[in-house]
Amino acid sequence: MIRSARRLFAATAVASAALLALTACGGSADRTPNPAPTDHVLHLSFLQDPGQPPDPDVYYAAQGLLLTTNLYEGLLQFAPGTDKVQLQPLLATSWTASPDNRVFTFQLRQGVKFHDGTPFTSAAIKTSFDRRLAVNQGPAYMVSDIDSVTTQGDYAATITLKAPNSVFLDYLASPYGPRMLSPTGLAANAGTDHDQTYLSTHDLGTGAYTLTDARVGSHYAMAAFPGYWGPKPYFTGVDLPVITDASAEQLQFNNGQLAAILHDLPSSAVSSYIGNAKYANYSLPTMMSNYLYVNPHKGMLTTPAARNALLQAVDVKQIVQQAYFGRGGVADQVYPPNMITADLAKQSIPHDTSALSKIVAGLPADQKSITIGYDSGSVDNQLVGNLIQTQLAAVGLTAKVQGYPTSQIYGWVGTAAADAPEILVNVGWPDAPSPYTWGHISFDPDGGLNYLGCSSPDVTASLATGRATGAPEVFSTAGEQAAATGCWLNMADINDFMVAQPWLKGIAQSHVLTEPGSLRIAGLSVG
Amino acid sequence: MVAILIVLTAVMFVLQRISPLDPVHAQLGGSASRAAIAARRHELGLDRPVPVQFWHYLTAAAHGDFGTSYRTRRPVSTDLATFLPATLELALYALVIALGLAMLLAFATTLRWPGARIFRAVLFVGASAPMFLLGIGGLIVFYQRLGWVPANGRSSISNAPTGPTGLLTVDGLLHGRLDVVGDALHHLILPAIVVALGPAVAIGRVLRSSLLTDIGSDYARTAKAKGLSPARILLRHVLRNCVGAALSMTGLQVGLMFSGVLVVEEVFGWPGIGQYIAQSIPVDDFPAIAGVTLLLGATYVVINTVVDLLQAAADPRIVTA
Repeated sequence: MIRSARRLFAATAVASAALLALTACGGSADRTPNPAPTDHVLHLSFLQDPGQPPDPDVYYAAQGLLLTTNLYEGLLQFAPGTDKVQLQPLLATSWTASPDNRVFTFQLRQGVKFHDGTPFTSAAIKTSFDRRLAVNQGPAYMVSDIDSVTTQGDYAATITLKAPNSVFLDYLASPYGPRMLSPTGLAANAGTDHDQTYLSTHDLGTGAYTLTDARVGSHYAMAAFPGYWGPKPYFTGVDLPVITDASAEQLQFNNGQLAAILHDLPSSAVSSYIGNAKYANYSLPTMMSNYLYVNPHKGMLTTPAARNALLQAVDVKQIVQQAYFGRGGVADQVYPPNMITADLAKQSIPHDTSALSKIVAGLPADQKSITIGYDSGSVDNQLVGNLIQTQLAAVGLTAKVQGYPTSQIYGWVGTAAADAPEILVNVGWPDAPSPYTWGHISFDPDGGLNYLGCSSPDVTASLATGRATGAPEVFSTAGEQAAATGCWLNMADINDFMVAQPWLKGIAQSHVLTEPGSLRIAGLSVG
Repeated sequence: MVAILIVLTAVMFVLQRISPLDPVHAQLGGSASRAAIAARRHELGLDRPVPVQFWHYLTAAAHGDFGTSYRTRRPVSTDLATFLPATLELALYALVIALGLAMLLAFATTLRWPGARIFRAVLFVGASAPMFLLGIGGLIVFYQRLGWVPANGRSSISNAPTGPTGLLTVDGLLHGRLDVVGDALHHLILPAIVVALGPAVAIGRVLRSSLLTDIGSDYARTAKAKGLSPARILLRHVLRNCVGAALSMTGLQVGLMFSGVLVVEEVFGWPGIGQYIAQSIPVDDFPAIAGVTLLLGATYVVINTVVDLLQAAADPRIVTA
């Protein structure tokens, strides 16, 4: 028995080594194109878990929008398939706004049902808004200025704000905006946490799809809602496994197991897919930007002149070409793309290292070292940081590139933190298209994305005026004033880069400018 | 053991409090008002004095309440009960494979079987390579090129039983679902081998070293003189005397295996503790981080206790206190 075990062992060892060598070194055999599914199930994926429950009053991040925007609907939406901001009806078929942007009246769509069978009526509006306020998570601010909601029958409602707000309609259409939830369902499943436990694994929306599986870190799934008021979707099921490695995700896509990858492809993968005729690729407009933030509290950067000299020394064209090839362009506006008309809020910083070189030459040695920070989850910004490091070395600055966890970056807001870097590069996008939604959180001293604590009274005053009136020219002035401080540089306008199997149709038409990394699945089909 | 865990908790609390992280603001987002952030901090008890927070955490943890995850919004104990079985199942099968490979490596090289050098070379290369590289390489070869294994997750079956143990291979058997068992094993095989290679080499080398030392001892020479084959001498006489050192190494490797499992879970999309904590750390989800740390700390202490007991059982000369 021992002798035969020896022979078996010897044969297995040799055969295994040979097999490994052949398969590892051999090229891939020519494969037939990955076939379309015949079961009407769309296989996508999440790269890492969405990170928060698919509860529209809680979810406030990125890739989970694929769930919330397909499970839930609000009164309004932004038109898909366009790079223009177009407010459209959704659960409201028409609306009027008072001249001072304080009173809004909506006519509601009839024949709509929630996924629990409850008919949608005007009663759902106040209960949904109240629930959002009670949960009081990130998106709650969008309804915090509501003074009253009155109904005129089952299919009309009037919303009155405490103060004029030109952004309110944008909030209603925002991907993070208030969604209509079934009042019956909310009452039945409230528990002790306003339905938060229930909505982590169920949904109470009116969307084309219902949530059928939500296992954190493992798998999500949706199924077409048979009672949906709109056109019946082609895909009756959506399968969303959680894949935690980008390379593994690409392997599964290349093998045909996934229909598309919607976001977070590293720049090296983008280049390879652009040149690969076997797959379809799309570069779709968004409101995402990659910003460079300058710390006004550190070293030589305490004056606008020094900060602007630093910004001029950054070769933005080189950075965009290397980090955002095929999916972005050099930004020429202060605000993220598609937020304001192209002739307003212009940003024009010529590339010129002379001013910074002169400043650096006169610095003591201990002030010639700086830190370039980036979110440690962003591979692209690690590359951007390295590129800036090289550029600044040419003018005599020694830069260290350092990743920081998201929670540490948010910890700097409002604190002039000692551990904050001199420069931070970070991607962001607004909650809604109004320039106020970006200007306030980025440029105001209490803004939630004012990471490095820079502000200007002129900017704040302009933004406040713009919020009340909605006048684009006022926001343009605010943006130009912000740019003059030297604290912010919009480096790149970033598109959504998606790759798909060639048989998957309707991607561009199903993409919404304000919903990064997401698609309206009901608009997809096989062709 | 309790003292170790209390000290571990205290260290985590101190590190958490002196760190500059702000999980609340990260959770609520850029548009959150200062009032909303303050309200949420109050809701989470983060505005209380640190010693009060520490005492509250300790007393709650003593009752199995590890707080609520900032990220998943569920009790950490629920999350641990969800994610831990996946890690345990992967670690268990990896351990079995590691022990099997270790025994094979030790025997083959001690007895100089044909092909032993090739086998040793393959194992050493596998153990030397970083786990994520091994994992991706394995996916390219065995998933993409050969199509032998799936690429992601624990199961392809949507209605697999989730209880009573949470281990799919066991729950499948208990529910009479052999399809679930087969599918689970199919998903397990590649990640388990990736995790097993490093420990297999470490344990195998220690065992081989012990075997080589003892095979020249008096009792082994006596057995040989009586006509027993080298393999029979190893199996029936020498192995039991040599297993102590290998057991100690096994205990150590099991602890290290959990750190390797974290990497492997990321590559294979394995929904275990490793993936759970990998997503919790960037957002400073302290309850989750603390819960996992305490769990792993307790597991490590238990494993080493079990190893001590096994060593005593293998060699009665060892006196246990």
